[in-house]
Amino acid sequence: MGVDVAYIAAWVLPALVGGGIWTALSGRSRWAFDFPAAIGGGWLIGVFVAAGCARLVALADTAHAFSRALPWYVAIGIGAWFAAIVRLRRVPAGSATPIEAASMLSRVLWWLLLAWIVFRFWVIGDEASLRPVFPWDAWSAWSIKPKTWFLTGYFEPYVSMLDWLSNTDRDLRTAASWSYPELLAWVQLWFASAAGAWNEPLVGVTWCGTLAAFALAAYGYWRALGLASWVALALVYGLVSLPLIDAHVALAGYADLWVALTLGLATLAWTRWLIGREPRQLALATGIALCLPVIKLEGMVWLISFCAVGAVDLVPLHRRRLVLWGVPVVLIASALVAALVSSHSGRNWIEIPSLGTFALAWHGVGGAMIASLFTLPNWHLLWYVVPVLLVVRRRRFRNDRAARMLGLMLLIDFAFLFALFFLTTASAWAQDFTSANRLILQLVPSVFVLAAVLLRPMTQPGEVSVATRRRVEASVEQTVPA
Amino acid sequence: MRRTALALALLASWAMLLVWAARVDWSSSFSPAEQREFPGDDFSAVFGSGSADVDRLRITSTAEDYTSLQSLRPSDVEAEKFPTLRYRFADFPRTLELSLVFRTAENPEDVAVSLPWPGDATRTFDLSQVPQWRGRIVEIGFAQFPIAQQVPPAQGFKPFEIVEAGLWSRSWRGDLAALATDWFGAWPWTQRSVHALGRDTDTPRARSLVWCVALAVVIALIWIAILFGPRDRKMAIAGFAIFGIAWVALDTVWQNGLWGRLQATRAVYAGLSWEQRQSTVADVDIVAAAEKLRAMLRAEPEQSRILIYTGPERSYELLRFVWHLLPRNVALYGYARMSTDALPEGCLLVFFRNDDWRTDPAWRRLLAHSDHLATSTSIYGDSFEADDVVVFRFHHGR
Repeated sequence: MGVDVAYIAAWVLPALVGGGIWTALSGRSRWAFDFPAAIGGGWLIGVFVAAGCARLVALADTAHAFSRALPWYVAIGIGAWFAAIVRLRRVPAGSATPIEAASMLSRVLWWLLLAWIVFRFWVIGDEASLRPVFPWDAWSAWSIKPKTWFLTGYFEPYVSMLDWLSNTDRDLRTAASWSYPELLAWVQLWFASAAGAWNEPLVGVTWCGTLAAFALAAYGYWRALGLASWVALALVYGLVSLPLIDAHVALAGYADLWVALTLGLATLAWTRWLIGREPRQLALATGIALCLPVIKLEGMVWLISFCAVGAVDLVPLHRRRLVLWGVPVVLIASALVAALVSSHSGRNWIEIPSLGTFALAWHGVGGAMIASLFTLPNWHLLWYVVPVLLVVRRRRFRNDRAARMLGLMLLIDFAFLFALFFLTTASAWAQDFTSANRLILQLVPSVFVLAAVLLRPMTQPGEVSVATRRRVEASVEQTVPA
Repeated sequence: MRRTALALALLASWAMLLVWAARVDWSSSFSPAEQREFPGDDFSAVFGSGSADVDRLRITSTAEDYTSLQSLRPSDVEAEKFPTLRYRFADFPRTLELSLVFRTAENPEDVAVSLPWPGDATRTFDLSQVPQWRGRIVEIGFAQFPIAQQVPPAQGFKPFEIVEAGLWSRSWRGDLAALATDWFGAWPWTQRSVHALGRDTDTPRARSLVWCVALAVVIALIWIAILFGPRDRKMAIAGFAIFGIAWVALDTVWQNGLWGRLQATRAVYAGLSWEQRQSTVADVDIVAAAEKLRAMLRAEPEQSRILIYTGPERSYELLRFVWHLLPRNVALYGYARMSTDALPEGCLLVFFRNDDWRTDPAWRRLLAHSDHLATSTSIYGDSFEADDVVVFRFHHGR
């Protein structure tokens, strides 16, 4: 048991297999910085594919999920790389790596930032790798299933308490978190079975790997947006320096970080589609986004808003204004009608699929939310800077479709959180400083993606011209029924 | 000239910001007008043991429950007159938490206030924000205990020394020192750390460092705009640079806190193998209870339904007990009762650190036809009544 070949392979293989899938989908690297994007994004995709493989083939032998899934996993990797190579042969190489005239100051800054980032990863990774699972929900919810499945050696479904009590003749389990999605459980099983024992430090350090993978991917994507190397790295530093993100790595076990980074990765790929109209990036973004609901229940909400805005983007330009104004008007009108009907019928609650039922009423949690965002040491200066950036780069925000689309998605997401905290009994999560910050955390990487889009230079390699964009949209219009 | 003016304006503005953040009383003197100094050997060990050593008190062991307390009974200390606490320790281990404990003549109940890790330097704490710091102080002291839920109790303690403590009347120096301790003091991880940092402790805190740094940035930008004019590009560059410095400054403070927390974790886990890390937990007593139950149920099929009951106020212990019992097929009795009134015939009911099974008439009725599964040792005496776990096999009736 411990760090042996199998455990190291469990870490390395996702980068290889996921990197193959990433390359097969996104095609030949056009720039050198596509490499970190492939490794980082590929690792996260690879981990999810590994978990999916384990789920499919290791139900009867969960303690050996890694070795059971390995042949299938390697086969997927070979297939992905075969597809990637075939595709690379067909598609000519893109433009060469743009040569960046970096000043000495920016180079020094780049190295200083890199050193600081590496040091930060070392500190939080060391913390995660030392202790058994510590935070409350980690051991009372997120690790119950993988621990049970690993130690029993086989899969047993988790059911509601009533089913568990009523079917004593069947192999069933129950827990308060019985309905939670199970992708993360299988990710934990993948690493635990590779380690050969249920060892929480070895499983927990995966949280550090996830953040590192996203940091790599983000750097690659942001360089591809045309950001200078030090600006891209400064954004990465900004993200990994955030105290609450660091806390979720150091005290590994919660699912929020995985949701945040998965949504962030989907947003990165989607941005590339928005800017460069690379269809495979859209496929990549969609595939990654589809993982959200199987990580955590609220992932469904983010997936819906992601898909809704993605659909708006696909609407032809001349109809988009109608959609952008029409949909909110219809939604607000529906909400008003629903509120009127509810008040007449005496119903004052709302059921949000995946999240639960909440009583409706106004809750004054502004003070707690302001404290969470602006005064407590969770986010450094992030929430001061974002509005300033939006104002300073308002022209870019107005003229750049990618920025507008990302902004719209985040607007919907934050509007949802506003409604959740201010209009429902979930306000208690804000008042007692519990889930509110963690839900906000899930959107933070995507906020950084928006910041990167706003900071990118007006013209850069890879961006399609207006004419090309209109041509692509015309072709989309022809293929998508009105 | 304008640069000099900018530097002076920034110095003055930021100094005023610091004074505001420290809640300095403008009418107070720079140094405290009155002081009460307590050398370490003025304290005596109440729990645990200690010995006086050249003005210091060396704490050499803890009480049975792994806590220690040292106190003294000061004369003529009115809390309102002395709102600033000064304290200094030596060799204080990273694995212990420190609390100030005091009693007043008006309120004989102990009041405990968590303090940041003292390190080896003199620390200062503003007691004026503690609501109970009112009236005549009849006893004051320091308590130490292993960091809750993180450090195995037996591993928390290492000998340390109280060098000195003191109480100051209100002063600029004291208020600014208290602000420095608050902003840069080391706090351990808690269960709340994944929700909201800064709310990890119930201790009253100073004005927010993040808020003050943001104000400092805004002030700097305003002065630059006033003295140099709001020229877009230069303002943008200056704003960017100031913001970057402010972010890095905040991050350096956070890094320092992370480093302190890591040292506490390393003090327990560094040098352990992966297996040892996995088995080193703070709640060793709950692990022992889980092991005991596991041993009792050795002959039970793995699929037997086990419902755990404990009294209210023990949700953490209950859930940890369930966690340590895995992979047994275990669930919470409280949830079961919310779902149905009918418990399955033959399921196991476990009372964890709770004796309602013999004291509560409702439980006695429910268990009237159930079998009490005694532990292997309890048949030799009455000690079973104090067992951590008591198990019944539930039967509806016969």
